[in-house]
This record gives sequence, structure tokens and C-alpha cells, in this order.
Amino acid sequence: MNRMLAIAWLRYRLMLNRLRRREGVWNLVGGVLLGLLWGAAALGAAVAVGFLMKAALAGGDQDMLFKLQFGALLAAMLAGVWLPLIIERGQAGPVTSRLLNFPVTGGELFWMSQAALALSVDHLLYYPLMIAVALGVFLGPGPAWLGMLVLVSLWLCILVWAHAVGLTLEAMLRGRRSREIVGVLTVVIIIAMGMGPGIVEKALRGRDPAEFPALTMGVDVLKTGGKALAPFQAAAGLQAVRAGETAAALGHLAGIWAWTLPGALLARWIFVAFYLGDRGSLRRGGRRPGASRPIMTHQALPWELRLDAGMLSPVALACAAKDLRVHFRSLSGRLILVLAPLLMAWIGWFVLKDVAEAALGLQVGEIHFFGMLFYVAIFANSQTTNNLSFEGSGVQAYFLLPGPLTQVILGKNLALWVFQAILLAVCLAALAVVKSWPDPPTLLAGVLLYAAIIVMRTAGGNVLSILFPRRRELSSRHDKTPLMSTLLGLLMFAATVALAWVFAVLPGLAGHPGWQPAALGFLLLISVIGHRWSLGAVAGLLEDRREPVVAALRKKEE
Amino acid sequence: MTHAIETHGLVRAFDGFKAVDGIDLQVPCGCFFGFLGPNGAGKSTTIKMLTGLIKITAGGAAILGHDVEKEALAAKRVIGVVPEDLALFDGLTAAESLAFTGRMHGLDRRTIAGRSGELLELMDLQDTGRKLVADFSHGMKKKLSLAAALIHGPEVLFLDEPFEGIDAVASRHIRKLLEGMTDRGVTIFLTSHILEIVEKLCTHLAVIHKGRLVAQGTLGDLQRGIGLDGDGAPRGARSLEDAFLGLVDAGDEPTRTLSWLE
Repeated sequence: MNRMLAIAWLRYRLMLNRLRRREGVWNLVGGVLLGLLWGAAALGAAVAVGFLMKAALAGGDQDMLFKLQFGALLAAMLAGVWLPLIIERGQAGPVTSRLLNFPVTGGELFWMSQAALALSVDHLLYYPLMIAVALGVFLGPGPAWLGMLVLVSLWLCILVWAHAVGLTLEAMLRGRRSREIVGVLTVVIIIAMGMGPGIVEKALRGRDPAEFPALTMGVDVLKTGGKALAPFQAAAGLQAVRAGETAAALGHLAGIWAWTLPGALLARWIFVAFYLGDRGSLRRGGRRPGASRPIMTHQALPWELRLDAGMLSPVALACAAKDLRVHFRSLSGRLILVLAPLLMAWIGWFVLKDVAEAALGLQVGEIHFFGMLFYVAIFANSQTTNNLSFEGSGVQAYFLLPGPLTQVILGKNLALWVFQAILLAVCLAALAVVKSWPDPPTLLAGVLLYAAIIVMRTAGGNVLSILFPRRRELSSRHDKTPLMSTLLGLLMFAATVALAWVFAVLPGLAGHPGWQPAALGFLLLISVIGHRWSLGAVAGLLEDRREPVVAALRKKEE
Repeated sequence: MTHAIETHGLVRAFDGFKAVDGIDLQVPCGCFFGFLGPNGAGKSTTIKMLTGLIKITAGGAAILGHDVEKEALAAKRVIGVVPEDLALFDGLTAAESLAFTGRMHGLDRRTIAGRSGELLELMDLQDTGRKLVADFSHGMKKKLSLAAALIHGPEVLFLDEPFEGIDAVASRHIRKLLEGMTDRGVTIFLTSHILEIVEKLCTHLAVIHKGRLVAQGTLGDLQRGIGLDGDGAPRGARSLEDAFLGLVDAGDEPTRTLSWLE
């Protein structure tokens, strides 16, 4: 018991210390406020459900009572299983894994860590709802002990599945590649959930759903599957208790345990395989035995060879080649390359086609195309405003190696530009699939406008990256850019878009719409000159701020 | 030129606290120089100042005659560094890391390919293939950092705890390599807590304690108590450990015990 309490305490302590450490006092204040907000929401929901259940009990409205209890218990299950993953970012087990040094058996550690979950802050949040339902059990008819047995069984089921899902996810996230796969899948699922209803609604508009048998079948399957869920079984069990049907209640109780036992077995298996066994240790960075392979030396990429023929310095080229590799290897870079064309196609297909009139001094085709380019340009915001994020402690190399910092920054910017150019090309290809390309003058103007925005943003992003650096791991799913930097980056983006818009509109307003590409070309030219001019100052800033930059980037991502 | 590294009243203060307090170092060319001190004495801070990772608060330093602040690029061209944090990029493979470092030093592709092949083999990293540095163990990262520090053929090599976390086989290879380098005139500036290694490798030593230099000289000088500042130095100490403990005021301390283990 003492050890279980110690584990529970450790989790609280680590959470509080993390709040205290990350951003100082304001983060702590923010954390406390957020905690109070969560607490108020949890208590408020419980009180509301409690009053509604009381009214339903008094009115004998069994149907309403069932719906309220099912809703409350489903919310509790979702909160119990998924909130820890969101709050602790899929790290349910780090506390456990560090306890293997202590003189406890694997079995003890498993049960202790599972029991400690019951006291963790993310599980406390749904307890008020469970207590409200429990009060309903005592106030309602039927044997209270049986109702409480149903509720306690559901609570155990939630704990067991929270443990199982947390451990499974953490085991999956140990490998960098699997972290990336999970990251991509998560984002794709979120986007599918966000866009899916809109796409289905558009597809079904004016048509009978019966024309889509797969859709109706899917809905039926979901309804049947939903009834098998543990919260539904619990709510049905409570209903049976109120009706005095003990046998039916016991049947639903068995239904809950039919979920609990596999959850416990899964948690136990993952725990044994990845914490106590050798599957985890194989993935902890050690070299795996295997046949010797020939020595791999660095292979130059085609663009590196071509760039070498140009006028850029070897230092800038080395930095550009390195950064480009890193952009393509980072999860965020890969996500951008996958999602940006998808979103562009979606925007082109669903959103901008509703714009049918010339406005803001631009023709319809220009509005469509430029609008989509602005969307594309928003991507890679964090790469621009936190462009040192992937360096980690490697940033020190820039200060140790004999390359001028102006060339280092130029190389990093060059990588961003090439990345953005590839992104634009992919998006244009996607656009060609769902719609068609605009006429050549609009296409040229659009590309110039896009390039000018990117160059201006990069110049501003260099400063923000040095002022607000934060480390990010290659496989990170989260945008780690500090809030202030994100805010300033967006303001900067809005300013550059407004400026680009002015240059795009002015020729038309002056009665010379044909001059638009020339005006945007001029904007691009002064952007490049401005960028080049700013490099010296940015290098000086980096030289001056080398210590806070190195300190910020050596900190492991939290 | 007689000194590879020279400092004059080198100071580094953090919020008023002097981590390094006016040290005057003279490191002869071609020597294997051990820079010793207890935890928090100022060793890494000194290396960071000498290699340009942090600013110098007062005083100055030169490497092979190049002022580390005024002629930073010239100084960086002749040095190789294995810093405390290793300065590796997580997103590159071992071969790419070496290629990047080589290119930053202006080496051509053929040279880089040849040298990185040899270095990877020496460090037993030839099997790492497409594996990224992010997935390396600490020892592998350390070896890679050392390889990166050597690829351009530095004249002065700074090594901050180079043997920590490295296996015995690689450690032996590296020791031989470093000894060979000093034979060819390369100066090596090393910090280590492993006094046996320092005793085996270093020809010259300096001891820093609480930010101040308390001793400087050859290994023999220090063991005999010659070249020590102040009056408290232990004359005639027999081993480096005895000399070191005496210099950092830990030689005469009574052995501490724990009440429940007595």
C-alpha cells in the first residue's frame, strides 16, 4: 500500500515539477488556473447530471434516467481512458519503468502501477460524475449493493483499459518510426473526423441515404457495437437493478467484466513484454546483433551536386543540404507534405468554389489561386519561426565550426525555400487533379507572390527563431514553438500577406492589370535584397544570444 | 610559437558568480594536456570559452596565436572539439554527420568519403547504416562526436570527458590514436574524471578548483609537488590521485560514514 501511494505521489510530484520547471511562475499560474477550470467543469457536469437524474427519478422517467446515466458513464470512460493520453502525451508508463530498479517483483509493480492510476489527477476528473450516478443508485429503487457492484466494476474496467491503452501506446511510441506512424495516423484520423461529416453531407445533399447501403450498414454496426460497450452495459445494468431484475443486472455485470478481463490481460502482456522482457530493451537505442554491412559513406544528393556548381559558399550549401534532409525526415515535414496538398485540394473543391464574384481588385480565378497559395504558405509556420528547433545540442556545431554564421543562416533559409518550393509543386499537382491550373499570367503572378511571402517570412522567422528557440524532436507530433513566437509569426504572416496583396491589386486599380507579374516580381526582388541585408544583423544576434540558444535547444523536449 | 593554447586572466561570470576566475594557462604545442578539477570547478566552462561556445567575461585566450574572440574563424579552423553535449544533429546518420562537418571545414567530397570511412571503421560505427543519431546510444554518440572532431585533421583537439560511456575496446583504439596524434605534433586538451587515464596519457596537467588554477606543470612536476601555487600544496605526493586530492582540499578530509552502515 505504501509503495502504491509512493507511486501515486511520484506522479503528482512529477506533474507539479514539470509545471514549475518549464516556463517559470506563469506556467505554474496557468497550470493552477487550468486545474481549477477542469475541476469546475468536472464538478459542474456532475451537479447538472445529479439534478437531472433526481428530477427523472422523481418523475419516474426511466428512459431519461437511462440516457443520463449512459451519457455520464460513457463520458467517464472516455475521460478515464483518453484524457491521460492527451494530458501525459502517451507517457503512461515512464514512472513505472523507472521503478524496476527497486526490490519489487514484476507482478507487484504491475498491480501497484495500475492501482496508482486510480489516484492520478486525470482519473480524479471523472469521479464526480461517477459519484453523481452512485448517489442516483442509492436514491433509486432496487438493491443498492448490486447497483454499486455494477458501478465499481465499470470503474475497474476504466482503470484497466486506461492502463492497457497507456502502456500499449507507450510501447509503440518507443521506436522513432512507430512514433511517426502513430503521429501521422492521429492527424489523419483527426482530419478525417473533422472533414468527414462535411464531405458526407455534401455528397448526400439532395439524395436519399438509402442509396448508400454501405453507409446505412455502417450506422447499424455502430449502433449494435455501441450497445456492447461497457458504459452501455453498466447503464443497462443499473436500469435492471431499478426494475428489480437481478438476473438481467448480473448479465450486464458479466458484460462489463467481459471488457475488464481482456483489458487486464492486454495490460499485463504489454507490461511483461516491454517492461520486464527484452522487447523494450531492444528498442532502447542499443545496437542489434546482425551481419556486418559495408561501410556507408555520405552520398551526395542530386540537388547538392547541382547547387555546388553555383555561387553559394560551401558552408551555406552544407547547411542547406543538412537542413533539407532534416525537414524531409521530420514528422512535421512529412505531415506538411502529405496534408498540404490534401487540404489544398479540399479547399479548391469545397470552399473556394463558392467564391464566384470578382472582389478586392482581383478576378475570380486570381482570388481562388492566390487564396489557396495563402493557405499553403501558412504551412511550415513552425519551421520558419522556430527554425533551430531540430538542431538540439547540434546547434553548438555552428559555433564550433569555422563557418560564418551569415552563411549558416543563409543555408538554413535556402533549405526552407527549397522545401517550400517542393511543397508548392506538390500542391499545384494536387490542384491540377481536382480542378485545373489557372491561366499562365495568374500562375506566374501566384508563384511570385508566394515566393515573396516566403522570403519575407523567412527573414522575420530568423529573428523569432533566435529570440524564442525551443527544441523539437524529429518524431514530435506537437508544434513546440513558444506561444509568443507563434503569435508574432502569425502577425508577421498577416503583414506579409497584406503587403503582397497590395502589390497584386495595385496594377489592376491603376488600370494596368498586365503589370501584376512585374509588380510582384519587384516585391520579390526587394524581399530578397531585404533578406540579404538582414543576414548580417541576424548573424550578430545569433552570436550574441548563443548561450541562451544553446541552453534552450539542449533541453529535452517535455 | 611555443604555446598551442594561452590564456590571460580568463574570467567567466554568471550573474556575478565567477565560474572561472582569472586563469592563466600555457599549453605547450604537441603536448597531451590534462585539465583536472572536481565537479563544478570550471573545466567545461573554460573549454567552452576556448572553443567559442560561450563568451569571455574578462581576460583573453589564443589558440596557436589566434585570439579566440577577435579571430574566431581562424581559431576554429585549427581546432577539433568533443564538447560536453557532443554537438550532434539528431536528424543525420553517422556518415552524413561526418560529411556535414567535413564540408563545414571546406574538405572536398573525395577526402570526406575516404576519411569518414576510416573514422567510422575505427569507431566501430560502420554498421550503423541509415540509423539516425537520434537512435544512437550515448557511447555511439560520443564516438561519432570524436570522429567529427578529427575529420579535418585538427592541430588542437579539445576533449571534454571523451572516455565516458565508451567501451574498453574502442577506448583502447582511441587512446592509441590520440597518442599517435601527439607524436605528430597535435596538441590535445583533455578533461576527465578518470585519473588513471589522465596519468597514462597526459604529459602536462593543470588543476582548477573553484574557478581558480591551483596547479600547472608536467605530470612529474605535479606528482612531486612542483609548480603549485600557494603554500598548501602537498609536496612529495606519490600518485596523481594523492596530488589531485591535496590540491582540491580533499586529501586530509576524514572518511565520511553513514550512521546506519557503521
